[in-house]
Amino acid sequence: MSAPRHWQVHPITAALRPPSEPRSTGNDDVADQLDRVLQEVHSLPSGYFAARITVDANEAESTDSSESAGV
Amino acid sequence: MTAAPEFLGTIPESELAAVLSHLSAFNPTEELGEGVLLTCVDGRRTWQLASDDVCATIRGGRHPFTGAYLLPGRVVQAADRMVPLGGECAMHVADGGVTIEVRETLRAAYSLGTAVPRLRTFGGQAVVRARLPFNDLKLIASLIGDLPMDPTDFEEMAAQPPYATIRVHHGRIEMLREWAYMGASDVVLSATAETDGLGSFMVNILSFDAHLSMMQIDDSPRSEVMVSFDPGFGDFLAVEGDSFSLHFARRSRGAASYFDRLIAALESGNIDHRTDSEGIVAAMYRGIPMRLQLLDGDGPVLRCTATVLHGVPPSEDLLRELNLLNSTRVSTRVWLDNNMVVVGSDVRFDDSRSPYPTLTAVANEARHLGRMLRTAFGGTAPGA
Repeated sequence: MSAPRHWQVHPITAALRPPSEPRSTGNDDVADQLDRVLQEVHSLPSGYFAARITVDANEAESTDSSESAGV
Repeated sequence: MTAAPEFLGTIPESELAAVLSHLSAFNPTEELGEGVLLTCVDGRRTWQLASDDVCATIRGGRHPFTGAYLLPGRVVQAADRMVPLGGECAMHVADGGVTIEVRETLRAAYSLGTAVPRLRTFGGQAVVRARLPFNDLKLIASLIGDLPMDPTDFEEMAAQPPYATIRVHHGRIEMLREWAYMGASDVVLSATAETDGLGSFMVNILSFDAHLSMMQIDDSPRSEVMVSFDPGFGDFLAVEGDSFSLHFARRSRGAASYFDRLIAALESGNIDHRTDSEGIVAAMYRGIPMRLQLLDGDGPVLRCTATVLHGVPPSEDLLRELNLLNSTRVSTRVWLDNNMVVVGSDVRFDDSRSPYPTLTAVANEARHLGRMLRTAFGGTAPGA
């Protein structure tokens, strides 16, 4: 089972450029805040749907086998 | 003040033919002062033509001189026609013009191009290499350029840019071009090569094919060329022989192709920002630290988010509140992700789109929602 096309969203992953130094006014506090933003771990759009589809497929299979066993 | 005349050397017909073989693929616009750059590098006459996609550098005979000149493309065409097979011409520049002389009987004079001549240099980015006969590379480049036979919908065909992936791995160089999006067969062509490293690089295959198919390198059918690139961060793929080098610009498809545009937009707005190696951008906009990420899906999307609270565990009350907020927001949304409350907005990102309306919308929401939610649900503000 695959996700519908409009669910198939994924971030660009190509390493397009070397990590950049902050293009900043030289304010250390701004540079630190930008660093922290890059260190945050955010969920990826495709990750949820992949997991959800696996759960749905497993549940469907489990229901089918229960029904066929007359449970 | 008149610059001193300079003798550019006695140029053989074979050198003119090599430059001419690249000229039609560039077509420098004479009216805009463009032309063929001619200068001296390491004691050798060096010609260069450049466009957004490719830069061709042709190394000619040894002759030291100091200047750098832009010759209108017609100068090379004229010299090639004036010089008999196996012959040569003398070339001088003086008073903003260039003169060609053949056997002291024929002479042609042109004005130099008015654009500022700038020699482009490339270096230090080869990580992956493949050495193979030039004719093998030329053949697979030509075949990968072929269009599906009898296409029924040219608009659909043109929906994807003419890019192909060049891959080097385990003794082969491969070219891959996708046509499945229009129902035709994807194509993979390859040739054996002496390889070093693994990796791939995307180029405009029309430029690649055009330059390789037109150029003359020498008379030996087994002359070898080196293909090299840095698959991670390289801007150019190089194809180099003894007397020439071609540098093809990296191309990307889908959302990745808008990465440079996004950075350019931030730079034009003087926005403090930095990027990581995965293409995520952190930007400080109106005092709000934001995360920008390009997503591929049905179309390229820019996701702009700002984390307004850290360390907030999920609770029924919080999730109910976020749901109510979402039902009343327009274009922006708020969600809980890894114990962070995140405000975000997704927007289709293409050539016509500026990121600033989205940045503004998210910044406005983040400023108000962060304060409001922290009062009710705790957590820490970014930077606290």
